[in-house]
Amino acid sequence: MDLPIRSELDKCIKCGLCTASCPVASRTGGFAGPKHMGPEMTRFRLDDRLGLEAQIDYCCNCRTCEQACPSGVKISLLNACYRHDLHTRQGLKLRDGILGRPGMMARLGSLNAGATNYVLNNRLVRAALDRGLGIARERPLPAYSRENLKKWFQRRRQPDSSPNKVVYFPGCTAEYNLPEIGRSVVNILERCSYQVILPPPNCCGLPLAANGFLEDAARMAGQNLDNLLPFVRQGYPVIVSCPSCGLALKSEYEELHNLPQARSLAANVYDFSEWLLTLQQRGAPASGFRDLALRVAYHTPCHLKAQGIGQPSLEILKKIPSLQVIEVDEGCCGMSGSFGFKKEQYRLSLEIGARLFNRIREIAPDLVASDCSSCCMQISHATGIGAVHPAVLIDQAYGRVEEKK
Amino acid sequence: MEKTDVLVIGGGATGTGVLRDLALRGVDAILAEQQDLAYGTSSRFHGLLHSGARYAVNDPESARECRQENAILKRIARCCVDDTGGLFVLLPGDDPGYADDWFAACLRAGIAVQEIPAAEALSLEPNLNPALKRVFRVPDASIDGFALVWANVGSAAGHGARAYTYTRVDRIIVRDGTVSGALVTDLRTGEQRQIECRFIVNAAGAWAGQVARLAGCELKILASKGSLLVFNHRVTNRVVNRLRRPGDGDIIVPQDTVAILGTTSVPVDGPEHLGSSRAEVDQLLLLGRDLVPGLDERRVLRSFAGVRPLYQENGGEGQRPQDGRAVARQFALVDHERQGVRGLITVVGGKLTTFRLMAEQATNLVCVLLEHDAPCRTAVEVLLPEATAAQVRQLQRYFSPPVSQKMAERLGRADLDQLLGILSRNGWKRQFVCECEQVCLAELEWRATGSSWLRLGDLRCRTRLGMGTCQGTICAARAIGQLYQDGMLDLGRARRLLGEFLDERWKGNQEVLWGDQLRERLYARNVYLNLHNFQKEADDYGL
Repeated sequence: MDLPIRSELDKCIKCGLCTASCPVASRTGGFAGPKHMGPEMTRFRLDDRLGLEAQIDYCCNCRTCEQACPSGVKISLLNACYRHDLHTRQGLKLRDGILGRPGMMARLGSLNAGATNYVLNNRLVRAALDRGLGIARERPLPAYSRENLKKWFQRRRQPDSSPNKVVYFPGCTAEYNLPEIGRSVVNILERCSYQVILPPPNCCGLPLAANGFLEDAARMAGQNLDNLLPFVRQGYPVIVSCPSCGLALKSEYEELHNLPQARSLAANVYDFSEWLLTLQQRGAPASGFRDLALRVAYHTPCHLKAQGIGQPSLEILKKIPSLQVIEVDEGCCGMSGSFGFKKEQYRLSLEIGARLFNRIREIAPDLVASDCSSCCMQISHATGIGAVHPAVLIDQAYGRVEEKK
Repeated sequence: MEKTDVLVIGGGATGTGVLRDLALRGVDAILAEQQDLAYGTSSRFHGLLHSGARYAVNDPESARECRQENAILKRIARCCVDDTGGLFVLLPGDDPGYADDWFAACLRAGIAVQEIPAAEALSLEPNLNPALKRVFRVPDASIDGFALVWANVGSAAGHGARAYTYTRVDRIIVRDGTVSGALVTDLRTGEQRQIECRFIVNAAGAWAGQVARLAGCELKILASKGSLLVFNHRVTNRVVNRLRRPGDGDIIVPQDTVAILGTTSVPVDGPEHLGSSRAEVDQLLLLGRDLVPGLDERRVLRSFAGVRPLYQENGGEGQRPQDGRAVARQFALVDHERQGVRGLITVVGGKLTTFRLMAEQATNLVCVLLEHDAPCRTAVEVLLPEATAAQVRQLQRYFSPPVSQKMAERLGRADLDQLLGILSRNGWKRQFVCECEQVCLAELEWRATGSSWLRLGDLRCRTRLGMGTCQGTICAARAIGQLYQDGMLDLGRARRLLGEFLDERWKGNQEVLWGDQLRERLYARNVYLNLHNFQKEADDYGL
């Protein structure tokens, strides 16, 4: 084991704040919490005679522990390495390989989105996926869009060229499942007089790392560095609308994969709302918001918190006239990307988010807004209330009516 | 009045080894130890089970003894031995000629030494100095001194022997030039009593001179202090020795969850000088980083020191060699009859690795004197039966596989039965009292009820409670709370034991307070002194 991990291990003073704040450990005795599974078990497993604990799969990779830690221990780094070693030793699961590759699955699924969605909604198919692969049958699968973001981007009337350019990294969801998020982001950026560049669609690699496929995740990260760095060198910022993609680009490529030049990319990556808020603060066309008479509950995704950039979406939403925004502030929703899809974790994932769902039901909003589409999926599933990315609301406030497809 | 054939004085590896040997040969024996078992040198060393390679050049006789005993202990004491294997590493700047001499000497001593390519060594131990010149594999291993001593006593007790801890020998009774017994004090109750015996084996290690004097005999023991550092994690997975003439800071031993770097060698006046100085700590760190670059930046949990009792044959000419390493590490067997006391034997010197051989030879002598004809069986009888696969499966109902594996290794078959019994009655006692070392409430309960103890530190030595990263911050209060709840302590004693335990842990931290360990210790102080107001409580209650 290399030295950076050893120093992570030495930093822990055993205060237990991480475990006290862990959304999983507080809901199940089956997960001993980040202190145990992180620094403690890492210290144990340096003795290579000892086996590994399978309960590491119950770490949902939300990073709440790292925000709680007063010693700056990169617990997720320890856990990612642990999970990787466990799965390498025990053999990687097909299910986890599928869940870890949303981009690849989406490329296949989007070939004929209608047929794929039909098949994936079939109860017999779901039963088979549940039994055969371990994907919870109760969990709605995200539908694939008939027209992905790239196709839309290419077919529409191209805006005038602008000297101000930004690169938009939509990630898998905004590319294949919910391209309306991507369309809103592009519209807003263009409204702010930026010319948007879309790199070739590619997964950020975070789901792979979270499922134990570290080498594949590193390869994916390398591809993204190759795709994005030429733009960064020209001084173009990289915008992400998915908090998990943002976390991968901002920190994981350097901390977990230790890739050269990851730092120069990271320094130029901005969450969409983070970027827009900066523009607004600089006096860019922030004005011009129209009334949006809605009652919206805002949920801050864990991976946005982990970026340490505050709540830029919330601040922007609060500026929209007539829009009533209520911050929920009840912690993790429990979905955590692929975590909530897994048969053995489906119920737990709903239990983790129970407080959040109850609070949302109390608020009884028209809509929930959250930057993470995985959180949105979970919240809608649990509460029956629609959930959208803030970019969609901001786009509407800017007066755009979604074109008919 | 208690009667026995042989009274063994000293509850270290040698004394408990003698007790076990006597018991296995059917000789009735009692052991008296003034503190807890393994209080002295048997727990204050790096934990290296020597292959003999370290002594091959300077002391071929010791090397051969170590080689034989190493093989025996790996066979009979698997409960206490972690067969890590060892490496000897030739660093740039160290004499390459010595490596050749050493290799030849190892072969002469019959030690299974094998040179491996540098690249292979670095892939086995990636933290080693990448500039290393040559690397040799030897059958070194890591041994747990506490576990060994307890296993010896457990095995001896199974054959009828008795061991009394916190029992100080005040006087050896000699009648007509022959030992007839000893006057002992139970330090817990203050009661004095007499134990009648025909022979006394003085195995008091660094205290052997003092014990001999109780019978009016002179015994010259040189005390050489060795300081060691405990690192927060296993820095290497194998014993790593620096290949050069044995010196300071040239051994790293993985010991359970930690690694120990040692040692220094400083002449001291007696066995009670057990602190290590900041200068020694600095010296060790500087030397250690030659073997493992960056070792001086890794977290050090504590420093400690032990005293090597070195026997001086010429009986007190009074010279004190500057380096204790110059004195032979072989052991000595002294029959005090030539000083006019029949029935008193001292066995002293040697190393932990050769404790069994020392015990065997001492016991041989006792048996000759007793005219008791029985062969030694300590080399063939397994010390502590290992946990069975069924027991490990049962454990896994309560704990994850790696934690079960660790517990099973630590406890052995008989203790594991007790632990499983407690767990089946009180499943909630699976909760960990010490998370750093994974000690559960059931294990604490079994050790607290199944053995005699005085201090929380005694339970620490039997379980590893408080030996890990937090050095007792979290587990000390939990353990005391549980013992109190289980009715084993009253409130006053609970407070006293807690304070005493924290003070003891604190003492070993004082020379290593920087970086992460300093943060940890400040956290501990804040938890106890500010958050729980422990000092004020203690003052208020006059504790």
